[in-house]
Amino acid sequence: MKRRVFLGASAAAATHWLWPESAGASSALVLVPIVAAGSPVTDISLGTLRRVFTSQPVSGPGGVSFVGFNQPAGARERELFDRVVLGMGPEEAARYWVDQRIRGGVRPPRSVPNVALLRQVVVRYPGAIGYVALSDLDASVRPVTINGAGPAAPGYPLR
Amino acid sequence: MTTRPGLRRALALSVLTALSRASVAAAQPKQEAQPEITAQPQVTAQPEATAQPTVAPSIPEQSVSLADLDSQLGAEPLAAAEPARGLSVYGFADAGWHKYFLRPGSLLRANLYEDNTFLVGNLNVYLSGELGGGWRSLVEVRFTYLPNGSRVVGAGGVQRTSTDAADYTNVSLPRQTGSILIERAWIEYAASAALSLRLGSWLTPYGIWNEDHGSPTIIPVTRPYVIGLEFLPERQTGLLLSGSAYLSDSLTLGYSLGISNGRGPIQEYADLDENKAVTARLQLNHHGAGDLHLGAAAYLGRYTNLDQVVQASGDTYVIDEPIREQYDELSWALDARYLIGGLHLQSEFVLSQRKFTERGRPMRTGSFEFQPDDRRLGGYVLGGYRFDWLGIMPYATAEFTSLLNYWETFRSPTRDVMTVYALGINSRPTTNVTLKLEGNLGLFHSEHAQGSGFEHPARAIQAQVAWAF
Repeated sequence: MKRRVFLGASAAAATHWLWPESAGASSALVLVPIVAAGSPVTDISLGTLRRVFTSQPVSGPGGVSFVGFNQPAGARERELFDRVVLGMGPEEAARYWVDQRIRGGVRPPRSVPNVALLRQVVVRYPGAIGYVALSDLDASVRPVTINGAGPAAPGYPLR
Repeated sequence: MTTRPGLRRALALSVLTALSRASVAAAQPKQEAQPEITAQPQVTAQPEATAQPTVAPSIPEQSVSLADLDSQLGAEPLAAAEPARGLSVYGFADAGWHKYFLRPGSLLRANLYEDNTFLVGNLNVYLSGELGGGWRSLVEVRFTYLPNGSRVVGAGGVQRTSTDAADYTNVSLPRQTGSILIERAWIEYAASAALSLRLGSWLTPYGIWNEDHGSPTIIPVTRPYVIGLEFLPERQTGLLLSGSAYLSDSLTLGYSLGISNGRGPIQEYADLDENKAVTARLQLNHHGAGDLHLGAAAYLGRYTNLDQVVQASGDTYVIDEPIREQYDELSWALDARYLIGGLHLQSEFVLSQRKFTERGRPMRTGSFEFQPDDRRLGGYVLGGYRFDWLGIMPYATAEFTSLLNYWETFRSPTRDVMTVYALGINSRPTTNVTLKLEGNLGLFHSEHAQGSGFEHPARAIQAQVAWAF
């Protein structure tokens, strides 16, 4: 089946109506997966996120491998993301990666020290997927829905 | 691997399916269902093998490397955020203490150092290389004090191997030398999620704790006896194909298919019979209410050990290769693991059948009868619960092993059954450190056990600190 790709609207406009609360985000932490603004990816499943962020090989459109980029360990965003997507708390996630490394050399996704750099990496690195707080979105990156749901949807997982 | 001898010693296709479906749009709330979006099918993540070629890559800098990225990002280089990924050196080690409680005069004393003993166990170093373009390599070596102190039981009693050598850097004073074991050394090319090719020496993909063999990750002090006995070879040298198919968002099917030299006295670099061994494994992982892992593996191979005798034949010499030992083996392994919250349930079962060839059936050591064919089997169950506080996990294990007696040559090759129970505490107070304290009880069931090492139960207390570095 031939798929068509939505590339017309600007990332900023898409951000506005896909994520209406981004103009006035509450203090509660809400995360959004992000890709480069020019990426054809608009939605991703929670399972795919989990695979990407456990360093399993997953390809996106055009055969480009997804590459996950984490927020730094200890960040609230990282903790929430690991808890929801990986199903692990900080200690458990840390143990998981130690065990994985000893098992066969599989390494965790790179962590990027700050959000500004993370956005730049996502824009520039092919296949990159990151995640930021809703309030940290800007026009350089595209927010991605999870299983078709945005932060306004009931049951949105990354909150 | 290479756990130290302990009481137990004595005693992981094609069905690639789209990961995420465009139909998820139907699940989107009304306020988000904008006309522009619904007119455009969502592009969702696809497994590599099913990637849509009609979607033109919209990311232009596909060849950008991290180094390139660093230079573009200017003052905040990405590579500086984490250690360089070219070559990574890390590993694990463990040290501990144990005390075995054996009956005076028990033959087990010939294999176990009974007295309470501190020891350094594993010291394994990994060299992991990201080689680019989908290539990576892993080399793991274990530094060991062996063979110094290794005991050989023979007619003359028990003798310890000495590796004393005159150290020329210290006025030739004696030094006990050790050795290096190559645990694995392979290079791998990942063609896609569905196919990776690994060449070299790799740990046989079966069960859980054969590959997951680092002491910080193993819950008990030592691995179950059935793993250490190598009913399937611990490692093989050859080609291993592996991959995963994402059957759904929560279900992953993995496979491994290996062809190797099989088991042999010098299997790492020579196949003495050109009879290649085949290993196959399927595993299913489900992530839902907890993580469920199921695996099944099979190994089919021929072991051959032969001598080489040079004989004169007229004006020439020929090499005769009489077979010293040869058998065919078929082994099966099943494994299951379920994790939910802190609960950890795990089990493995292995069955191995060994049939000697007509020319390759050896004599039993020290006797005048031939070694019989054997069916060996064993398994274990483990249950534990890890609390948040200090990462403490109380656990219990029960294991059994059944095989024909082959080590006590004064007894007939009748079936011995060993059951070992353990209660212990495993704690991971920090990410890289694991503390273990365990008590063991070994019960044996053997015909004609009188005078055997299995005549009486054996008990042990073991403690271990394992760390990853």
